[in-house]
Amino acid sequence: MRNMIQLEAVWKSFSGASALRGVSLTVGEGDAVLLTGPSGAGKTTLLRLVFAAERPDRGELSVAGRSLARLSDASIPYVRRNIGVVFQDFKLLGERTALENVGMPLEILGLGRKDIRARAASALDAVGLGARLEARPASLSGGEQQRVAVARAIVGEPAILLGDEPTGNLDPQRTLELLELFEAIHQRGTTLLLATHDPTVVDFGVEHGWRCARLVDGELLDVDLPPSRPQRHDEETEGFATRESPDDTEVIRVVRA
Amino acid sequence: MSFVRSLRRAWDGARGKPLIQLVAVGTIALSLLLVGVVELTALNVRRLSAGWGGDVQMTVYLEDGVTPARANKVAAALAKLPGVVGVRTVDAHEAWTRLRRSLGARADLLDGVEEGFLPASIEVSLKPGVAEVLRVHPAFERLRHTAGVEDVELSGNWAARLRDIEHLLSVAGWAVAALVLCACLYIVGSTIRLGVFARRDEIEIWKLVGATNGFVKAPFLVEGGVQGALGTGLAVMLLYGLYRLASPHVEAVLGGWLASGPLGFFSPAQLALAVLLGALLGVAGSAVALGRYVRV
Repeated sequence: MRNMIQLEAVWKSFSGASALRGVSLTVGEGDAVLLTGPSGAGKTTLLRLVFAAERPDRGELSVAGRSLARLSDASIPYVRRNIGVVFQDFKLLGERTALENVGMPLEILGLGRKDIRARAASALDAVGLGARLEARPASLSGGEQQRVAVARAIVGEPAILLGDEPTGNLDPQRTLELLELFEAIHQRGTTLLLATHDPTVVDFGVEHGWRCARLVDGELLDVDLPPSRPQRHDEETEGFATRESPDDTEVIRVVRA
Repeated sequence: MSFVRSLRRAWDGARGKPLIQLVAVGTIALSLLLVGVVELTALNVRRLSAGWGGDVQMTVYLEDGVTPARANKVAAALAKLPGVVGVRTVDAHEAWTRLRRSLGARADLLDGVEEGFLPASIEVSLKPGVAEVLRVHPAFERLRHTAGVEDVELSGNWAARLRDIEHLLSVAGWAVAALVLCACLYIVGSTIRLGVFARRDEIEIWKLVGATNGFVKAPFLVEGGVQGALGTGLAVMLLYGLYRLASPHVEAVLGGWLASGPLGFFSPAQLALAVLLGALLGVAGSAVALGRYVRV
Protein backbone atom coordinates (compact mmCIF):
# COMPACT_ATOMS: atom_id res chain seq x y z
CA MET A 1 0.00 0.00 0.00
CA ARG A 2 1.55 3.31 -1.06
CA ASN A 3 1.43 6.46 1.00
CA MET A 4 -1.09 9.01 -0.24
CA ILE A 5 -0.28 11.72 2.29
CA GLN A 6 3.02 11.97 4.09
CA LEU A 7 4.16 14.71 6.44
CA GLU A 8 7.60 14.56 7.98
CA ALA A 9 8.48 17.08 10.70
CA VAL A 10 6.34 19.78 9.09
CA TRP A 11 6.40 23.24 10.59
CA LYS A 12 4.10 26.10 9.67
CA SER A 13 3.68 29.47 11.31
CA PHE A 14 1.65 32.61 10.61
CA SER A 15 3.01 35.98 11.69
CA GLY A 16 5.39 34.30 14.07
CA ALA A 17 2.74 32.11 15.71
CA SER A 18 3.31 28.39 15.15
CA ALA A 19 0.28 26.61 13.71
CA LEU A 20 2.04 23.27 13.19
CA ARG A 21 5.13 22.15 15.08
CA GLY A 22 7.10 19.27 13.63
CA VAL A 23 4.06 17.27 12.57
CA SER A 24 4.67 13.82 11.07
CA LEU A 25 1.76 11.82 9.70
CA THR A 26 1.38 9.09 7.12
CA VAL A 27 -1.90 8.25 5.44
CA GLY A 28 -1.86 5.19 3.22
CA GLU A 29 -3.90 4.59 0.09
CA GLY A 30 -7.48 3.72 1.03
CA ASP A 31 -7.03 4.79 4.66
CA ALA A 32 -9.67 6.74 6.53
CA VAL A 33 -8.14 9.05 9.12
CA LEU A 34 -9.81 11.39 11.58
CA LEU A 35 -7.86 14.45 12.58
CA THR A 36 -9.22 15.51 15.92
CA GLY A 37 -8.35 18.29 18.31
CA PRO A 38 -9.73 21.52 19.70
CA SER A 39 -10.33 24.66 17.69
CA GLY A 40 -7.05 26.36 16.83
CA ALA A 41 -5.08 23.11 17.15
CA GLY A 42 -3.88 23.32 13.51
CA LYS A 43 -6.28 20.90 11.84
CA THR A 44 -7.31 23.31 9.11
CA THR A 45 -3.70 24.38 8.55
CA LEU A 46 -2.73 20.75 8.07
CA LEU A 47 -5.51 20.23 5.52
CA ARG A 48 -4.58 23.47 3.72
CA LEU A 49 -1.03 22.19 3.44
CA VAL A 50 -2.26 18.93 1.96
CA PHE A 51 -4.24 20.63 -0.81
CA ALA A 52 -1.40 23.09 -1.36
CA ALA A 53 -3.22 26.22 -0.25
CA GLU A 54 -0.21 26.78 2.01
CA ARG A 55 3.42 25.73 1.85
CA PRO A 56 5.26 24.28 4.84
CA ASP A 57 7.99 26.43 6.39
CA ARG A 58 10.05 23.37 7.14
CA GLY A 59 9.75 19.63 6.73
CA GLU A 60 8.66 17.31 3.96
CA LEU A 61 5.14 16.95 2.63
CA SER A 62 4.14 14.68 -0.21
CA VAL A 63 0.73 13.90 -1.67
CA ALA A 64 0.25 10.90 -3.95
CA GLY A 65 4.02 10.59 -4.16
CA ARG A 66 4.63 14.22 -5.20
CA SER A 67 6.62 16.47 -2.90
CA LEU A 68 4.60 19.65 -2.37
CA ALA A 69 7.50 21.53 -0.81
CA ARG A 70 9.32 21.59 -4.15
CA LEU A 71 6.24 21.88 -6.35
CA SER A 72 6.09 24.80 -8.79
CA ASP A 73 3.09 27.15 -8.56
CA ALA A 74 1.99 26.07 -12.03
CA SER A 75 1.76 22.43 -10.91
CA ILE A 76 -0.43 23.08 -7.87
CA PRO A 77 -3.80 22.98 -9.74
CA TYR A 78 -2.96 19.56 -11.14
CA VAL A 79 -2.28 18.23 -7.63
CA ARG A 80 -5.60 19.65 -6.45
CA ARG A 81 -7.49 17.83 -9.20
CA ASN A 82 -6.60 14.61 -7.41
CA ILE A 83 -8.00 15.91 -4.12
CA GLY A 84 -11.63 16.56 -3.23
CA VAL A 85 -12.32 18.98 -0.40
CA VAL A 86 -15.49 19.41 1.68
CA PHE A 87 -15.85 22.40 3.99
CA GLN A 88 -18.03 23.20 6.95
CA ASP A 89 -19.58 26.15 5.06
CA PHE A 90 -20.15 24.07 1.89
CA LYS A 91 -18.62 26.72 -0.42
CA LEU A 92 -21.35 26.48 -3.06
CA LEU A 93 -22.12 29.24 -5.55
CA GLY A 94 -25.59 30.61 -4.94
CA GLU A 95 -26.27 31.59 -8.54
CA ARG A 96 -25.47 28.11 -9.85
CA THR A 97 -27.74 25.09 -9.65
CA ALA A 98 -26.66 21.97 -7.78
CA LEU A 99 -25.77 20.42 -11.13
CA GLU A 100 -23.69 23.43 -12.17
CA ASN A 101 -21.91 23.54 -8.81
CA VAL A 102 -21.00 19.88 -9.06
CA GLY A 103 -19.89 20.30 -12.66
CA MET A 104 -17.23 22.90 -11.80
CA PRO A 105 -14.28 20.48 -11.44
CA LEU A 106 -15.24 18.97 -14.80
CA GLU A 107 -15.37 22.36 -16.52
CA ILE A 108 -11.69 22.94 -15.82
CA LEU A 109 -10.91 19.57 -17.42
CA GLY A 110 -12.44 20.91 -20.64
CA LEU A 111 -15.17 18.27 -20.90
CA GLY A 112 -18.17 18.88 -23.14
CA ARG A 113 -21.42 20.18 -21.66
CA LYS A 114 -23.21 16.85 -22.13
CA ASP A 115 -20.45 14.92 -20.39
CA ILE A 116 -20.38 17.42 -17.56
CA ARG A 117 -24.15 17.18 -17.08
CA ALA A 118 -24.11 13.39 -17.17
CA ARG A 119 -21.26 13.01 -14.69
CA ALA A 120 -22.49 15.73 -12.35
CA ALA A 121 -25.97 14.18 -12.36
CA SER A 122 -24.45 10.79 -11.60
CA ALA A 123 -22.47 12.26 -8.66
CA LEU A 124 -25.58 13.97 -7.30
CA ASP A 125 -27.48 10.73 -7.69
CA ALA A 126 -24.77 8.97 -5.70
CA VAL A 127 -25.26 11.37 -2.79
CA GLY A 128 -29.04 10.98 -2.93
CA LEU A 129 -29.85 14.23 -4.68
CA GLY A 130 -30.77 12.85 -8.09
CA ALA A 131 -34.11 14.65 -7.88
CA ARG A 132 -32.67 18.07 -7.01
CA LEU A 133 -30.35 18.66 -9.96
CA GLU A 134 -31.69 22.08 -10.86
CA ALA A 135 -32.16 23.32 -7.29
CA ARG A 136 -30.13 26.30 -6.19
CA PRO A 137 -28.30 26.11 -2.84
CA ALA A 138 -30.71 28.56 -1.19
CA SER A 139 -33.57 26.12 -1.75
CA LEU A 140 -31.67 23.18 -0.24
CA SER A 141 -31.34 22.24 3.43
CA GLY A 142 -27.93 22.34 5.15
CA GLY A 143 -27.58 18.58 4.80
CA GLU A 144 -28.48 18.71 1.14
CA GLN A 145 -26.04 21.53 0.51
CA GLN A 146 -23.28 19.51 2.14
CA ARG A 147 -24.22 16.55 -0.06
CA VAL A 148 -23.88 18.79 -3.10
CA ALA A 149 -20.44 19.82 -1.81
CA VAL A 150 -19.52 16.14 -1.40
CA ALA A 151 -20.79 15.39 -4.91
CA ARG A 152 -18.59 18.22 -6.22
CA ALA A 153 -15.62 16.82 -4.27
CA ILE A 154 -15.99 13.32 -5.71
CA VAL A 155 -17.20 14.06 -9.23
CA GLY A 156 -13.64 14.16 -10.54
CA GLU A 157 -13.00 10.77 -8.88
CA PRO A 158 -10.12 12.06 -6.74
CA ALA A 159 -7.83 9.65 -4.92
CA ILE A 160 -8.08 11.72 -1.73
CA LEU A 161 -11.08 13.30 -0.04
CA LEU A 162 -10.44 15.93 2.62
CA GLY A 163 -13.08 17.25 4.99
CA ASP A 164 -12.66 20.33 7.17
CA GLU A 165 -15.32 20.07 9.87
CA PRO A 166 -17.73 18.75 7.22
CA THR A 167 -20.49 18.15 9.76
CA GLY A 168 -20.07 21.46 11.56
CA ASN A 169 -23.32 22.91 10.22
CA LEU A 170 -25.42 19.74 10.30
CA ASP A 171 -27.83 18.31 12.85
CA PRO A 172 -27.09 14.81 14.27
CA GLN A 173 -29.33 13.01 11.79
CA ARG A 174 -27.79 14.79 8.77
CA THR A 175 -24.33 14.21 10.29
CA LEU A 176 -24.87 10.46 10.36
CA GLU A 177 -26.21 10.46 6.83
CA LEU A 178 -23.13 12.35 5.65
CA LEU A 179 -20.80 9.99 7.52
CA GLU A 180 -22.49 6.99 5.86
CA LEU A 181 -21.81 8.71 2.59
CA PHE A 182 -18.14 9.22 3.48
CA GLU A 183 -17.88 5.57 4.46
CA ALA A 184 -19.39 4.51 1.14
CA ILE A 185 -16.85 6.67 -0.67
CA HIS A 186 -14.08 5.21 1.49
CA GLN A 187 -15.24 1.68 0.67
CA ARG A 188 -14.76 2.50 -3.00
CA GLY A 189 -11.04 3.00 -2.28
CA THR A 190 -10.85 6.75 -1.75
CA THR A 191 -8.43 7.93 0.93
CA LEU A 192 -10.21 10.01 3.59
CA LEU A 193 -8.75 12.63 5.89
CA LEU A 194 -11.39 14.42 7.94
CA ALA A 195 -10.68 17.15 10.46
CA THR A 196 -13.31 17.30 13.19
CA HIS A 197 -14.00 17.97 16.82
CA ASP A 198 -17.50 16.51 16.54
CA PRO A 199 -17.92 13.51 18.94
CA THR A 200 -20.50 11.95 16.61
CA VAL A 201 -17.91 11.77 13.87
CA VAL A 202 -15.35 10.24 16.23
CA ASP A 203 -17.89 7.63 17.38
CA PHE A 204 -18.69 6.79 13.81
CA GLY A 205 -14.98 6.52 12.99
CA VAL A 206 -14.36 4.16 15.90
CA GLU A 207 -17.26 2.02 14.83
CA HIS A 208 -15.96 1.73 11.29
CA GLY A 209 -12.30 1.22 12.14
CA TRP A 210 -11.02 4.59 10.94
CA ARG A 211 -7.63 5.70 12.19
CA CYS A 212 -7.38 8.70 14.46
CA ALA A 213 -4.75 11.39 14.97
CA ARG A 214 -5.02 14.13 17.54
CA LEU A 215 -3.60 17.63 17.14
CA VAL A 216 -3.09 19.92 20.12
CA ASP A 217 -1.40 23.31 19.86
CA GLY A 218 0.11 22.38 16.51
CA GLU A 219 1.61 19.12 17.73
CA LEU A 220 0.35 15.71 16.69
CA LEU A 221 -0.42 13.39 19.59
CA ASP A 222 -1.77 9.86 19.80
CA VAL A 223 -1.19 9.06 16.14
CA ASP A 224 -2.61 5.86 14.70
CA LEU A 225 -4.06 4.66 17.96
CA PRO A 226 -7.63 3.50 18.28
CA PRO A 227 -9.48 6.60 19.46
CA SER A 228 -11.05 4.66 22.29
CA ARG A 229 -7.64 4.06 23.87
CA PRO A 230 -5.64 7.31 23.60
CA GLN A 231 -2.03 6.69 24.60
CA ARG A 232 -0.11 9.32 26.50
CA HIS A 233 3.54 9.75 25.60
CA ASP A 234 6.08 10.65 28.20
CA GLU A 235 7.28 14.15 27.49
CA GLU A 236 10.90 13.45 28.36
CA THR A 237 11.32 10.27 26.38
CA GLU A 238 9.09 10.99 23.35
CA GLY A 239 9.73 14.67 22.99
CA PHE A 240 6.17 15.95 22.93
CA ALA A 241 3.64 16.71 25.56
CA THR A 242 0.02 15.79 25.98
CA ARG A 243 -1.94 18.92 26.57
CA GLU A 244 -5.65 18.71 26.79
CA SER A 245 -7.77 21.75 26.27
CA PRO A 246 -11.35 21.65 27.60
CA ASP A 247 -12.62 20.92 24.06
CA ASP A 248 -10.14 18.13 23.60
CA THR A 249 -10.99 16.59 26.94
CA GLU A 250 -14.57 16.49 25.82
CA VAL A 251 -13.63 14.65 22.63
CA ILE A 252 -11.56 12.11 24.56
CA ARG A 253 -14.34 11.61 27.07
CA VAL A 254 -16.78 10.87 24.27
CA VAL A 255 -14.31 8.58 22.53
CA ARG A 256 -13.60 6.67 25.72
CA ALA A 257 -17.27 6.34 26.38
CA MET B 1 -14.25 25.91 -27.15
CA SER B 2 -12.39 27.21 -24.11
CA PHE B 3 -12.68 30.76 -25.47
CA VAL B 4 -16.44 30.35 -25.82
CA ARG B 5 -16.54 29.04 -22.26
CA SER B 6 -14.48 32.00 -21.04
CA LEU B 7 -16.81 34.31 -22.94
CA ARG B 8 -19.81 32.72 -21.26
CA ARG B 9 -18.19 32.99 -17.83
CA ALA B 10 -17.25 36.62 -18.58
CA TRP B 11 -20.87 37.30 -19.52
CA ASP B 12 -22.09 35.58 -16.35
CA GLY B 13 -19.80 37.79 -14.29
CA ALA B 14 -20.47 41.03 -16.16
CA ARG B 15 -24.25 40.82 -16.24
CA GLY B 16 -24.29 40.90 -12.45
CA LYS B 17 -22.87 44.44 -12.43
CA PRO B 18 -24.24 46.22 -15.53
CA LEU B 19 -23.84 49.73 -14.10
CA ILE B 20 -20.13 49.24 -13.47
CA GLN B 21 -19.71 47.91 -17.00
CA LEU B 22 -21.63 50.84 -18.42
CA VAL B 23 -19.55 53.38 -16.50
CA ALA B 24 -16.31 51.67 -17.56
CA VAL B 25 -17.26 51.50 -21.24
CA GLY B 26 -18.58 55.09 -21.17
CA THR B 27 -15.44 56.46 -19.52
CA ILE B 28 -13.18 54.61 -21.94
CA ALA B 29 -15.29 55.94 -24.83
CA LEU B 30 -15.07 59.55 -23.66
CA SER B 31 -11.31 59.27 -23.05
CA LEU B 32 -10.71 57.78 -26.48
CA LEU B 33 -13.00 60.36 -28.06
CA LEU B 34 -10.47 62.97 -27.00
CA VAL B 35 -7.72 61.08 -28.80
CA GLY B 36 -10.02 60.68 -31.81
CA VAL B 37 -10.73 64.42 -32.04
CA VAL B 38 -7.02 65.30 -31.94
CA GLU B 39 -6.12 62.59 -34.46
CA LEU B 40 -8.99 63.58 -36.78
CA THR B 41 -7.87 67.22 -36.67
CA ALA B 42 -4.31 66.16 -37.48
CA LEU B 43 -5.62 63.99 -40.33
CA ASN B 44 -7.46 66.92 -41.88
CA VAL B 45 -4.57 69.33 -41.45
CA ARG B 46 -2.44 66.78 -43.30
CA ARG B 47 -5.07 66.54 -46.04
CA LEU B 48 -5.30 70.31 -46.21
CA SER B 49 -1.56 70.61 -46.51
CA ALA B 50 -1.39 67.91 -49.19
CA GLY B 51 -4.34 69.42 -51.07
CA TRP B 52 -2.72 72.82 -51.17
CA GLY B 53 0.55 71.34 -52.19
CA GLY B 54 2.05 72.00 -48.83
CA ASP B 55 5.56 72.45 -50.18
CA VAL B 56 4.60 75.06 -52.80
CA GLN B 57 5.96 78.45 -51.72
CA MET B 58 5.72 80.42 -54.97
CA THR B 59 3.04 80.54 -57.66
CA VAL B 60 3.74 82.14 -61.03
CA TYR B 61 0.45 83.07 -62.75
CA LEU B 62 0.64 83.10 -66.53
CA GLU B 63 -1.07 85.54 -68.86
CA ASP B 64 -4.12 84.47 -70.83
CA GLY B 65 -3.26 82.84 -74.09
CA VAL B 66 0.25 81.80 -73.13
CA THR B 67 1.14 78.75 -75.17
CA PRO B 68 2.07 75.51 -73.43
CA ALA B 69 5.50 75.79 -75.05
CA ARG B 70 6.08 79.19 -73.47
CA ALA B 71 4.78 77.95 -70.11
CA ASN B 72 7.17 75.01 -70.24
CA LYS B 73 10.05 77.31 -71.14
CA VAL B 74 9.37 79.55 -68.12
CA ALA B 75 9.02 76.45 -65.93
CA ALA B 76 12.31 75.06 -67.19
CA ALA B 77 14.04 78.37 -66.50
CA LEU B 78 12.63 78.43 -62.98
CA ALA B 79 13.74 74.87 -62.34
CA LYS B 80 17.35 75.84 -63.05
CA LEU B 81 17.37 78.60 -60.41
CA PRO B 82 19.29 77.93 -57.19
CA GLY B 83 17.04 77.18 -54.21
CA VAL B 84 14.27 75.71 -56.36
CA VAL B 85 13.34 72.19 -55.36
CA GLY B 86 10.54 71.47 -57.84
CA VAL B 87 8.39 73.04 -60.52
CA ARG B 88 4.93 72.02 -61.67
CA THR B 89 2.76 73.50 -64.43
CA VAL B 90 -0.97 73.76 -63.71
CA ASP B 91 -3.14 74.47 -66.76
CA ALA B 92 -6.47 76.31 -66.69
CA HIS B 93 -8.45 73.05 -66.71
CA GLU B 94 -6.64 71.64 -63.67
CA ALA B 95 -7.07 74.95 -61.83
CA TRP B 96 -10.81 74.80 -62.59
CA THR B 97 -11.04 71.19 -61.39
CA ARG B 98 -9.27 72.08 -58.13
CA LEU B 99 -11.55 75.01 -57.48
CA ARG B 100 -14.63 72.95 -58.14
CA ARG B 101 -13.42 70.22 -55.80
CA SER B 102 -12.56 72.71 -53.08
CA LEU B 103 -16.08 74.13 -53.14
CA GLY B 104 -17.46 70.68 -52.39
CA ALA B 105 -21.21 70.86 -51.92
CA ARG B 106 -21.21 74.45 -53.09
CA ALA B 107 -19.61 73.65 -56.46
CA ASP B 108 -22.86 74.72 -58.12
CA LEU B 109 -21.68 78.32 -57.59
CA LEU B 110 -19.53 77.74 -60.65
CA ASP B 111 -22.49 76.73 -62.82
CA GLY B 112 -22.56 78.97 -65.88
CA VAL B 113 -18.98 80.14 -65.34
CA GLU B 114 -16.65 79.49 -68.24
CA GLU B 115 -14.15 76.72 -67.45
CA GLY B 116 -11.10 78.55 -68.74
CA PHE B 117 -11.48 81.72 -66.68
CA LEU B 118 -8.77 80.74 -64.22
CA PRO B 119 -5.20 81.44 -65.30
CA ALA B 120 -2.65 78.71 -65.85
CA SER B 121 0.18 78.79 -63.36
CA ILE B 122 3.52 77.35 -62.38
CA GLU B 123 3.89 76.11 -58.81
CA VAL B 124 7.41 76.31 -57.45
CA SER B 125 8.72 74.51 -54.37
CA LEU B 126 11.63 76.21 -52.68
CA LYS B 127 14.24 75.19 -50.18
CA PRO B 128 13.57 76.36 -46.60
CA GLY B 129 14.22 80.09 -46.16
CA VAL B 130 14.54 80.85 -49.89
CA ALA B 131 11.05 82.43 -50.09
CA GLU B 132 12.02 85.09 -47.55
CA VAL B 133 15.22 85.98 -49.45
CA LEU B 134 13.47 85.95 -52.81
CA ARG B 135 10.85 88.42 -51.61
CA VAL B 136 13.48 91.22 -51.49
CA HIS B 137 15.70 89.95 -54.30
CA PRO B 138 15.81 91.83 -57.65
CA ALA B 139 15.23 88.52 -59.43
CA PHE B 140 11.73 88.48 -58.03
CA GLU B 141 10.85 91.74 -59.75
CA ARG B 142 12.50 90.56 -62.97
CA LEU B 143 10.35 87.43 -62.87
CA ARG B 144 7.19 89.50 -62.55
CA HIS B 145 8.10 91.31 -65.70
CA THR B 146 9.04 88.25 -67.71
CA ALA B 147 7.08 87.80 -70.88
CA GLY B 148 4.00 85.62 -70.40
CA VAL B 149 3.95 86.12 -66.62
CA GLU B 150 0.89 87.89 -65.24
CA ASP B 151 1.84 87.90 -61.58
CA VAL B 152 4.02 86.15 -59.03
CA GLU B 153 2.82 85.31 -55.57
CA LEU B 154 5.03 84.24 -52.72
CA SER B 155 3.10 82.34 -50.13
CA GLY B 156 5.68 83.12 -47.50
CA ASN B 157 6.28 80.46 -44.93
CA TRP B 158 2.62 79.42 -44.52
CA ALA B 159 3.42 75.96 -45.78
CA ALA B 160 6.15 75.59 -43.19
CA ARG B 161 3.76 76.89 -40.54
CA LEU B 162 1.16 74.39 -41.66
CA ARG B 163 3.73 71.66 -41.32
CA ASP B 164 4.59 72.96 -37.85
CA ILE B 165 0.91 72.84 -36.88
CA GLU B 166 0.66 69.35 -38.32
CA HIS B 167 3.72 68.31 -36.33
CA LEU B 168 2.37 69.94 -33.17
CA LEU B 169 -0.95 68.17 -33.58
CA SER B 170 0.84 64.90 -34.13
CA VAL B 171 2.88 65.35 -30.92
CA ALA B 172 -0.22 66.48 -29.02
CA GLY B 173 -2.07 63.47 -30.39
CA TRP B 174 0.57 61.11 -29.08
CA ALA B 175 0.73 62.89 -25.72
CA VAL B 176 -3.06 62.74 -25.33
CA ALA B 177 -3.03 59.12 -26.49
CA ALA B 178 -0.40 58.24 -23.86
CA LEU B 179 -2.39 59.94 -21.09
CA VAL B 180 -5.63 58.34 -22.22
CA LEU B 181 -3.88 54.98 -22.48
CA CYS B 182 -2.90 55.21 -18.82
CA ALA B 183 -6.41 56.37 -17.89
CA CYS B 184 -7.98 53.46 -19.80
CA LEU B 185 -5.62 50.95 -18.19
CA TYR B 186 -6.60 52.34 -14.81
CA ILE B 187 -10.34 52.28 -15.59
CA VAL B 188 -10.29 48.72 -16.91
CA GLY B 189 -8.03 47.65 -14.05
CA SER B 190 -10.37 49.15 -11.45
CA THR B 191 -13.43 47.51 -12.99
CA ILE B 192 -11.68 44.18 -13.10
CA ARG B 193 -10.55 44.54 -9.49
CA LEU B 194 -14.16 45.21 -8.51
CA GLY B 195 -15.16 42.13 -10.47
CA VAL B 196 -12.48 40.04 -8.77
CA PHE B 197 -13.67 41.29 -5.39
CA ALA B 198 -17.32 40.56 -6.20
CA ARG B 199 -16.45 37.08 -7.40
CA ARG B 200 -13.81 36.22 -4.80
CA ASP B 201 -15.86 33.28 -3.50
CA GLU B 202 -16.20 31.86 -6.98
CA ILE B 203 -12.48 32.35 -7.62
CA GLU B 204 -11.66 30.56 -4.36
CA ILE B 205 -13.83 27.61 -5.35
CA TRP B 206 -12.33 27.44 -8.83
CA LYS B 207 -8.88 27.30 -7.25
CA LEU B 208 -10.00 24.62 -4.80
CA VAL B 209 -11.23 22.35 -7.55
CA GLY B 210 -7.94 22.66 -9.45
CA ALA B 211 -8.39 25.54 -11.86
CA THR B 212 -5.19 26.98 -13.27
CA ASN B 213 -4.40 30.70 -13.08
CA GLY B 214 -5.17 30.95 -16.78
CA PHE B 215 -8.60 29.39 -16.33
CA VAL B 216 -9.45 31.77 -13.47
CA LYS B 217 -8.11 34.82 -15.30
CA ALA B 218 -9.55 34.08 -18.75
CA PRO B 219 -13.08 35.51 -18.21
CA PHE B 220 -11.63 38.68 -16.66
CA LEU B 221 -9.27 39.12 -19.61
CA VAL B 222 -12.20 38.60 -21.98
CA GLU B 223 -14.23 41.12 -19.95
CA GLY B 224 -11.40 43.67 -20.18
CA GLY B 225 -11.04 43.07 -23.91
CA VAL B 226 -14.77 43.47 -24.51
CA GLN B 227 -14.81 46.66 -22.41
CA GLY B 228 -11.92 48.06 -24.46
CA ALA B 229 -13.51 47.10 -27.78
CA LEU B 230 -16.95 48.44 -26.80
CA GLY B 231 -15.44 51.64 -25.41
CA THR B 232 -13.47 52.19 -28.63
CA GLY B 233 -16.51 51.33 -30.75
CA LEU B 234 -18.61 53.83 -28.83
CA ALA B 235 -15.86 56.47 -29.17
CA VAL B 236 -15.79 55.87 -32.94
CA MET B 237 -19.57 56.29 -33.16
CA LEU B 238 -19.47 59.48 -31.07
CA LEU B 239 -16.59 60.83 -33.15
CA TYR B 240 -18.47 60.09 -36.37
CA GLY B 241 -21.55 61.79 -34.99
CA LEU B 242 -19.47 64.85 -34.05
CA TYR B 243 -17.82 64.79 -37.47
CA ARG B 244 -21.18 64.72 -39.29
CA LEU B 245 -22.48 67.46 -37.04
CA ALA B 246 -19.46 69.76 -37.21
CA SER B 247 -18.02 69.20 -40.68
CA PRO B 248 -20.58 71.37 -42.61
CA HIS B 249 -19.87 74.27 -40.27
CA VAL B 250 -16.09 73.82 -40.43
CA GLU B 251 -16.23 73.47 -44.22
CA ALA B 252 -18.32 76.63 -44.43
CA VAL B 253 -15.77 78.53 -42.37
CA LEU B 254 -12.79 77.20 -44.33
CA GLY B 255 -14.63 77.63 -47.64
CA GLY B 256 -12.33 77.54 -50.65
CA TRP B 257 -9.29 76.70 -48.50
CA LEU B 258 -10.25 73.05 -48.67
CA ALA B 259 -8.53 72.35 -51.95
CA SER B 260 -8.54 68.63 -51.22
CA GLY B 261 -12.33 68.41 -50.91
CA PRO B 262 -14.58 68.06 -47.86
CA LEU B 263 -13.19 67.19 -44.41
CA GLY B 264 -12.02 63.61 -44.21
CA PHE B 265 -12.76 60.82 -41.70
CA PHE B 266 -10.82 57.71 -40.77
CA SER B 267 -10.98 54.77 -43.18
CA PRO B 268 -12.87 51.58 -42.16
CA ALA B 269 -9.52 49.78 -41.87
CA GLN B 270 -8.23 52.45 -39.48
CA LEU B 271 -11.42 52.21 -37.42
CA ALA B 272 -11.19 48.41 -37.27
CA LEU B 273 -7.56 48.73 -36.14
CA ALA B 274 -8.61 51.22 -33.45
CA VAL B 275 -11.24 48.82 -32.09
CA LEU B 276 -8.68 46.00 -32.11
CA LEU B 277 -6.17 48.17 -30.25
CA GLY B 278 -8.94 49.14 -27.80
CA ALA B 279 -9.60 45.46 -27.13
CA LEU B 280 -5.88 44.83 -26.58
CA LEU B 281 -5.75 47.84 -24.26
CA GLY B 282 -8.61 46.32 -22.24
CA VAL B 283 -6.88 42.94 -22.06
CA ALA B 284 -3.66 44.64 -20.93
CA GLY B 285 -5.46 46.63 -18.22
CA SER B 286 -7.16 43.48 -17.03
CA ALA B 287 -3.91 41.51 -17.02
CA VAL B 288 -2.16 44.19 -14.96
CA ALA B 289 -5.00 44.20 -12.42
CA LEU B 290 -5.20 40.40 -12.23
CA GLY B 291 -1.47 39.94 -11.86
CA ARG B 292 -1.66 41.28 -8.34
CA TYR B 293 -4.99 39.89 -7.24
CA VAL B 294 -5.41 36.42 -8.69
CA ARG B 295 -2.79 33.87 -7.77
CA VAL B 296 -3.24 30.12 -7.24
